[in-house]
Formats: sequence, C-alpha cells, structure tokens
Amino acid sequence: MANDFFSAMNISASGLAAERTRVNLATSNLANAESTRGPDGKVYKRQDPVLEAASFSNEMSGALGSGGELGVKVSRIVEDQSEGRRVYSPGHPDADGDGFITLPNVNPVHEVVNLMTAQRGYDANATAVETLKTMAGRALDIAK
Amino acid sequence: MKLFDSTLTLLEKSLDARLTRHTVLSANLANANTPGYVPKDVNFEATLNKMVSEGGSTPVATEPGHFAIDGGSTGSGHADFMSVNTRTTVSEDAGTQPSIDGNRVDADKTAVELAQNGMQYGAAAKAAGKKLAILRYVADGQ
Repeated sequence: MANDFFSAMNISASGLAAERTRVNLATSNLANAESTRGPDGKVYKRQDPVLEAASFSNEMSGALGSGGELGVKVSRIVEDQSEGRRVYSPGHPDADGDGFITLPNVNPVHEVVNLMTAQRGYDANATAVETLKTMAGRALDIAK
Repeated sequence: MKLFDSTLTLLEKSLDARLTRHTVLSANLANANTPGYVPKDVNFEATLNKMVSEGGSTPVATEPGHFAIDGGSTGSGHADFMSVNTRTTVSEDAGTQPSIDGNRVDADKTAVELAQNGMQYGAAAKAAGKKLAILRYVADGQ
C-alpha cells in the first residue's frame, strides 16, 4: 500500500536532498567567486540546480491518480552562461593581452539569498519529518 | 447498540485520510522551489460531511425516554463509512499568487496545515485508543 508512513518520509527526504544540493551549489559558487580558472582551464561559471517534481514509484502515482507527481529531484545542474566581470589586473597570470582578467559571474548577494531560502526549505522538510514521527508514535500508542 | 459499531471504522478512515493528507502536504513542501509546481490537497472533510448528511449519522433516539434531537431518526442511522474513499479526493489547490517561476506553494500556510493535520491525526488516534480501552474494560469485566 502506498499510503504508508515511509512514502511520506521518502518524499520529505527528497525535499531535504534537493535543498542540500541547492546549499552545496550556492556554497560552491561563493567559494569560487574569485576563481579565474576551473578544472577545464576556463573561468568558473556559477552553477544552478534545476528542480523537478518527480514521482518515486508507479505505485504512488497510481494511488493518487494521474498527475500525482510527488517528491522532488534535481533533474540537472546547469551553468549560468552570463558574462563574468572584467577587471584590470596586468600582473595576474591569467590576464589577457590588454591586462584584463575575467572573474566568475558570481554575485555573492544572490548566492547568500539562495542559501537562506534553501535553509528555510530544508527546515520545512525536516519539520514535516518530525510531524510524521509524532504521528507514527501516536498510531503505535493506539495499541497501548 | 452494537459493541463493535462503526466508530473504529470511521476512526481508521480518518487516520488513513490524515496520513494521505500529510503525504500530499509534505510533497508540496518538498516542491516549494520547483518552478511551475501547483500544490495539491486532500479534502477529506467534504467527503465525510457528504456521507454524514446522506447516511443520517446524526444522534438517534433509540429509547422512548431519550430527548429528541433535531434531524435525528429512530433506527441504526449509521452511514456506510466503509465506502468512504480517502484516496480519490486529491485535487490541485490553486494556492496563492504564483512566484516569478510559477510556483504556487505557500510554505508557511503548508507548514501550518501540516501541524494541524498532525494534531487531528493525534486526536483520531487517541479516540481509537479510548474506544479500544472501553472494549477492553468490558471484556475484562472489571
């Protein structure tokens, strides 16, 4: 039966995982705010997760009717293709012929706001798990 | 009055519906940042109210000395709660004004509903426990 405690817990767990991915990417962007080269030798580009509502199992979507997509998953991680900042720094080893370096397209304010909303989302999902645990405890108490 | 009446069946349906609602609400919370997501909800109360009004599960006078209760009738008067389906009523909830990415989940409202739902689950579980305690009391004869 799909309508059980563990389905609900798996959904909340998917929310926790997605929010943690958002935190990971935001901190990665923050940490690389000044990185003039990435693993491929080019300037670092900020990364964003693409979230998508996802059903876990056919069983679950069957129980809740069609379109019962539940839970969330990070369908892919995309690089923000916007241009980075150009700064004049002739002594820098990555400077071009004109003495400019390209810094990543990371805006720390933007990343910190992302961090805050991701943390709030994480908290909300954690609260849902806590409520579910209380409910399970109450159900077990019926037999007392 | 039967010893095993529809009380436990109804409570079981209620617990089932609350758990379904928890699943749906926590899915809304999990998708609070998914672009274009429209939240869902379970309207168990509407189904139950319909059952009660159609099945006449109002208090009934079963003895001549009982006070008359408006809307009550003599007889068993219990709706067929076994037929209450708690799964078919998941519907899309228009939610609030969509954010810029089309998401309509209101995280605060959902969190409050989740807490209310948990308390209602606890109440139904407690009532079921009390009903069983009564039966146990009768069975033990003490």
